[in-house]
Amino acid sequence: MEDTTNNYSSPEIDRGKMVKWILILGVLSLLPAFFQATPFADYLAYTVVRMMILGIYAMSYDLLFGFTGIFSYGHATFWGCGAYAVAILTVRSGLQVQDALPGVLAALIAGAGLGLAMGFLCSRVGQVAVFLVSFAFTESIQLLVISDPLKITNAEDGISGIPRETLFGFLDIKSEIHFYYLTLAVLVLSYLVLRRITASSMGDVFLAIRENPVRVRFLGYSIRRYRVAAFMISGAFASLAGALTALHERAVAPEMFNWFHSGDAVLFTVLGSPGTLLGPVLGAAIVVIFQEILSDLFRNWMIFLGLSYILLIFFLPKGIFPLFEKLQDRLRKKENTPAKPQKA
Amino acid sequence: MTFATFLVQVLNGLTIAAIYILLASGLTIVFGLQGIVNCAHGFFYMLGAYLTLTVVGKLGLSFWVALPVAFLANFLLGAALEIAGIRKLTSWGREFTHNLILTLGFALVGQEAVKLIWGTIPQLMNVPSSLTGMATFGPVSYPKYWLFVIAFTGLVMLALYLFFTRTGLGILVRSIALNSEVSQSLGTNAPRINTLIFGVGTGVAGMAGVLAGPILSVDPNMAFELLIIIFVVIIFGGLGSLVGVVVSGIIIGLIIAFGTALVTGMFAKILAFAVMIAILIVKPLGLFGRGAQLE
Repeated sequence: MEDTTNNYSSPEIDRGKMVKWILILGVLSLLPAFFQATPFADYLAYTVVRMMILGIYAMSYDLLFGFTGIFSYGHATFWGCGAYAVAILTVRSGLQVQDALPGVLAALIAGAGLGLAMGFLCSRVGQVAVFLVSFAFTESIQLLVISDPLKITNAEDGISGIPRETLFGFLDIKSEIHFYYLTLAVLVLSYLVLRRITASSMGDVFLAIRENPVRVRFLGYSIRRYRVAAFMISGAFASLAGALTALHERAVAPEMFNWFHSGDAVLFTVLGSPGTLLGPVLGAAIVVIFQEILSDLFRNWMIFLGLSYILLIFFLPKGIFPLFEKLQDRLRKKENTPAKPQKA
Repeated sequence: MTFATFLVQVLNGLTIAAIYILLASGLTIVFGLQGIVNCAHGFFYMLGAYLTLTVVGKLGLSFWVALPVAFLANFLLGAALEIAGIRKLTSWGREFTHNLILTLGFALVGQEAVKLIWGTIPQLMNVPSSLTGMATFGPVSYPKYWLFVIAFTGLVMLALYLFFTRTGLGILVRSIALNSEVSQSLGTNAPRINTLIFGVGTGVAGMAGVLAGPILSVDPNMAFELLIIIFVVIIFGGLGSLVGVVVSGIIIGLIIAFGTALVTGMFAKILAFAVMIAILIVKPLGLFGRGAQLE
């Protein structure tokens, strides 16, 4: 398929954008130095790492929901699966793995595998049923983890004492600051890979399935296969976020498979504008900030989750991106009005 | 397992099935009409149970007052949710996902509100005094109240059947489910009927909560715990099919009852999920699904 008109497949190199990106990355990589100057450096680094990990989680859901239009409510399956992959490999398998790499690779494979299973089930049913099936699927995985028939997940207690020593055998990721840089690198890498995927011809088919599945089918594409592919890619990245969470918290619990973590993914994505990849990352950061502020004031986080669902759906159904655009437009108008008055 | 204990387990299964069917029928009818799933259905069920705690425990009124009170309160709240939320979003031409997210948000807020009002401790609900004790037939003796729950569900389902086949309004509802646009062009007030049916569904969910209170636990997690099993029931039976709900409700109820009796409750639940996955592989539309919802 040769198409030069496609603006997804050839991201132009824009000097202004480059400068913006270098600025953002520069700020993010200098943040730890700023944290060191404050009395609660570890807490700040910990929170920002959590934001970035959940950002990867949100991006992976965006591929599924924002790009392919699959409203799954089972994203926590992948998150928990990645975390458990790391925990089982390092603590329960008896292999004495100290390096982080095998765990992360196992998480990617497990996430893609579980994505295959869930995608297989969900691509066979209608759009509303996808919601129900993924919801129930997550619950069944959680029950399996709790009942622990193979004696590997340590039932309700979860697994703690996950080692975080090195990556690739020589990179030291023990301290919070080192882990911060690792997470930042993974976040940027995930973004680049996901952007590459969504900009490819496969990403175009994803978008087309979201917009008009019947037509895509008439064009000869197998919708099912593409939906399964979306689940697998998305599952692998969510699993990667789970693996990072396990390394970060150094413990996992069956609670990670809870449906409200799936709900978090939906919230991040809807808040940050579905189909923008970076929006959901921003959405995750905003939600984490609110969680940190509000959880001290109120014990019931869920009521805010629910209220934000309702308010977003009514007042900001496309998330916060349109707001930025409006703001930019208004600024531009202000600049332009004295020179040339508006036409039409 | 003797024949008598086998029969008792069958009755247990039917009692659980009765609760499932009461909840799932409302969900599946609303899906047939509006193409959405009301995630707050579990919340209405929970509200029914907690309202009974207040009506019977605090106000000292009888269980037989609680039943209509729960229906009415849930009907009004459900209708309000439909008018203020779902109808608005539909008229704005929003996607179905927005309605799902809205009802989820409503369910979460409702659950937290219940926690704030009634507390988080699991509560005990008593069987109404006129239905305490056991009924004995031959070798089997069984709690009267549980038999009443089965009979009540049977009556509700019979009423639904008669409503859909013998009344003008019921036929209008079916016409909307078949083709909303054509039905409206022939003069059906579809939005009003949708609201009515949505409200009746939530009202019945409230009554299910009243009935389930003395049998299952009454705690703030009951809503989503049951909702997920109800999802399994409607997927298994086929989305939008009322017959499917009855058949799959009974099958899942029996699976839960026998699984719990023979192995553990956890195993029973996993088995129910496994059955759902199996039906999705063999027959993705469920037992009685007609495939209208599949693009």
